[in-house]
Amino acid sequence: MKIWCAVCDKEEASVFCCADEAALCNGCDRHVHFANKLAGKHLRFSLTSPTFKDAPLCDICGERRALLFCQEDRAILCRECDIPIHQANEHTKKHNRFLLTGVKISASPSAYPRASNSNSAAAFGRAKTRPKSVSSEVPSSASNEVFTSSSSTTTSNCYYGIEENYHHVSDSGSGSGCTGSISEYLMETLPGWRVEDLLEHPSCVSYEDNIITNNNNSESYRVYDGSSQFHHQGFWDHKPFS
Amino acid sequence: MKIQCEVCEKAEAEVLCCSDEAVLCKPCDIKVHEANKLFQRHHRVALQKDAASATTASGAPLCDICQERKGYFFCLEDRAMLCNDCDEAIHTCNSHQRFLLSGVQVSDQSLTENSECSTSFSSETYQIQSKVSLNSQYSSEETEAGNSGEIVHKNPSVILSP
Repeated sequence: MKIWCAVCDKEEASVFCCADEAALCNGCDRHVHFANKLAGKHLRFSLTSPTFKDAPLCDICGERRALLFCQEDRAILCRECDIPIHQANEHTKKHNRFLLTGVKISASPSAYPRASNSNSAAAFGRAKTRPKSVSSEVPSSASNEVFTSSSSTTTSNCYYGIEENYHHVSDSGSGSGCTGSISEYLMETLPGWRVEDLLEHPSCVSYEDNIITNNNNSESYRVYDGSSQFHHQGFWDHKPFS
Repeated sequence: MKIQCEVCEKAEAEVLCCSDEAVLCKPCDIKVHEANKLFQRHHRVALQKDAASATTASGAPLCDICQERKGYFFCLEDRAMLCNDCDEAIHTCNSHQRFLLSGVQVSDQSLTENSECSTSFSSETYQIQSKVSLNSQYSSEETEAGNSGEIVHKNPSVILSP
């Protein structure tokens, strides 16, 4: 069984508006409730079309589908069980029995059924509307702030990163280049000699000249003696004097 | 709220066929249930748009709690008819199944006799044949005949009362 749209009388109703107390189809719902802001705040329930599996069963026989609801008996009945009860006497004939269409109502209403905004916390309709609007605005602004701060952070990170890289490259390059190259050259060329001795090259030359002179004297003397060990000792003894 | 005929899907439903578990408009009801003799025996009930007491002008019953507004929500577990505000207060925490009440009532009048009268056959001949067939069948159907007689007898009072 289908419930008709109250506006166009052509389509099946898919939405029930509490404020209008009318069932509407999707097209008429959009047309009616987007007319102005006040109509847009109407709370609507989505209607579910009935399926055979979900149909409630008769309270008496429990087998057939219940089609009638008796207001006085508070029972849902199938037609076979309804006949012997409500035709028994004059009193039961006066009971009001309503037709159960099987159309279900969604658990919670929403101002925008298509957008699927579900909010079942508030107790009253007006209270429901305002928290929705507030919650819809504040998170968007907060997210914008987060986005702005994140972008600025990213920019600052890039800036600092560039500086660090530049500083690192210049520092490591200059330092390591100067030190490494000189020490390597000296180590390869003159193993065993100290850097301080090599830095005093002119004095070394004069020193060597003195040594040569002394060496000549010592050699002439040593030639007569013929002792090499003594020669070495003489060489080292002259050095402190100069 | 109106309920659509399930056959033509164009007119408003005026008859409930319990055997088919379907609602039909008058022309479709005649067309469907005159197809053969088996379908003629389907028990049909008229649907009332507006009801008498305990309901508002548009036919919807009053809310069981506040007794002021119309009750459109029928809770299957509570077996109660509620308006929007009372339903909201109760079912915010629950997960009961709720149905939409269309406000359409079911009357006491059986349409079997009416449908027979509306046939194209001769009414007297057809009635005689139906009585003979009813008499030849089981006692339960004889009881049904008695019930239908009572219903026919009470129809004039129903008609006279409005």
